[in-house]
Amino acid sequence: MGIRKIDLDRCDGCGICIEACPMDVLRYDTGLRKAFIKYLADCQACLLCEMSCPVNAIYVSPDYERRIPVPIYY
Amino acid sequence: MISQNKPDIIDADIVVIGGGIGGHTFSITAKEKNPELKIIVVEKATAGKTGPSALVGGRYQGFLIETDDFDKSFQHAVEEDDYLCDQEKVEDYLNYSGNVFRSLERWGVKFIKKPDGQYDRPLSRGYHSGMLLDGGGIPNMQALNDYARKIGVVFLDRVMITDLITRQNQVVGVVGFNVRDGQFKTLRSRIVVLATGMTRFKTIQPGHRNDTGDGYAMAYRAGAEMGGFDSTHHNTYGARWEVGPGNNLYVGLGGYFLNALGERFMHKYHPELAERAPFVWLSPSFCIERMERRAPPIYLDLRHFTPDKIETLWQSVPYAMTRYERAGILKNNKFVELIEYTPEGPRPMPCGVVTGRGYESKNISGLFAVGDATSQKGAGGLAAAAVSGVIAALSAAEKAKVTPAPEVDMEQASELKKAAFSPLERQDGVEPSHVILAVQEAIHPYSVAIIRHGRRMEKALKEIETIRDNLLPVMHAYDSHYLMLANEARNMVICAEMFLNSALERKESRLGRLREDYRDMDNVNWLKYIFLKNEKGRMKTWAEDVPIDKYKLKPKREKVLHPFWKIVDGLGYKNTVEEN
Repeated sequence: MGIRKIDLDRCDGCGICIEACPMDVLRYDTGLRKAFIKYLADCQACLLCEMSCPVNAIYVSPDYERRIPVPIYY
Repeated sequence: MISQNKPDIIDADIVVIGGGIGGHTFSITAKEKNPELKIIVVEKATAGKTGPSALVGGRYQGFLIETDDFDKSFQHAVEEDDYLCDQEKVEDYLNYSGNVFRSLERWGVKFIKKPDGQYDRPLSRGYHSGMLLDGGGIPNMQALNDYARKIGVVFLDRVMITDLITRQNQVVGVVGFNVRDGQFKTLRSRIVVLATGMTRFKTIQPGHRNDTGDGYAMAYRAGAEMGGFDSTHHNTYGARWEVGPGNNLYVGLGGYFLNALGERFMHKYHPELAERAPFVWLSPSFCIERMERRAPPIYLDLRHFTPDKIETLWQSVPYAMTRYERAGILKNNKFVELIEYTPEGPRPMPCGVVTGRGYESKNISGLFAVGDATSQKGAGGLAAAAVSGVIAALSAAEKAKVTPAPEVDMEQASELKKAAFSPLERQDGVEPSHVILAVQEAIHPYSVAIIRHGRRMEKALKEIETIRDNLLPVMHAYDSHYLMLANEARNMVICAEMFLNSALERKESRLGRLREDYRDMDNVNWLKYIFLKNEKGRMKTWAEDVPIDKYKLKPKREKVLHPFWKIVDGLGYKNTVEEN
């Protein structure tokens, strides 16, 4: 399922996760002043956001987020 | 807010596209050689935090000239590509490798050492051993990035470069856009370096989905001669979970592959190396098991790993280990479950812009290509990218000093912008993700790229041409993020065409190019490179002799059943892929 949660109680809006994400999944909400998940389908569960979060607000699951054809299953 | 109208022109001496290890070693070396140069590294994500360089399996397959056997390493590199590599580049790679390794340490990269102070170099796939990145790719790429910034290399993140600007067979700049706000960018530059990696068609594996062949496609559109797309390598990864990377390390430390019957099988296909067979041998072996109805599933079995091996994995691939824990495969620091495995989709390699020994394009002056963006290199992976970046920088830094200030035709830039931005102009249309899935479904089946047949590749090519002609023209982007995906999809379609057209051209079997309809390895007629070029919008492919007479190692000039097919025939297997 890729990135599952940004805990809004913990997130302090530092934006480090947004810059860490290689797939541009996360963006910044100027009203809330927190990160949010905008393009979930592009998450590759690389964990960079979670590992870079200084307040442990993010959890990533290793389930596949999108269908990717598997060569030997044809 | 998407703003597209105001021209945003940036001047540089050298523009490097791609913020992986090749882009970093290039820019650091060029800047140290000539501190006056203005070098800008442009990255569609964040430099140092993207692609296989950051998310690698912890392995740096480096060669140390003071301790390692030059002749053996040379021979293995040449044989692993069945004699189709540029042997001069392999020699350069081995000669420079030690110095580059020491430079990486000086720039802050850390490798794991044993208690006696020697580098920990466990066996890996093929006949190689490799150093291990301490902490994996992330902290070490961060160290390189910090060093590059400290010496004055400029980074432009979240900008996707879409096209090269050329003038009379000379590159003079690039165009692209900011993926966050859609701002169009034009960069004028004396030298442009493609450090854009390869294309993996957004396959399975974290870290590989940034690799969408952007450099290949922009070089092709600009008319650069391209080569090597007939060869595809297929690494093996988790089929059900986002686990890995680290396959090289798992087999190096003694991991097994099991088929659906729970049997180890790789020793039958490669008696000497078994699970450590090079992946051009490993992935077709998985497919033969599939054809014989003993797969799927195929499993990676690490349940016998002892605590010291688990510790090595935590040190070298910590993110992969976290994923194993989350998936319930690793419990209490022991692997308790089998991991369902598969070959990934095709990744053409070693392929890219045809370059000489200094890694400059053969036909577009000022265009350099390093790492996986260049063809015929004879070595792949992080070490080859790092070394080619350094070699290219030594000549590019000199060339930048004597190249006159570039002139950019703004009309050409405007035309390129129009093509790149067209999905954003449409009010409705096909989502890029649909196009990407359609490309994957055409080329991911094992019977297209791994176990090949002319008829199946022709069918796949027709599907790709249908996507090109019917879906690309109606692709729609909701915003600048989707515009990036749309341009990635456009690039992947070109890459799929380059792969299939090149693979159809080669009428023989060779590693990474196994054909059921041409089972011989033909060193009489097919010791040739497959090249291609954009000629007035048409993809022209042709074969050219490998200049084997000037090379050190020469194969027997004979036509024989390919060794892989010989082994499969010897096993007495009867099933073949249904032809359609």
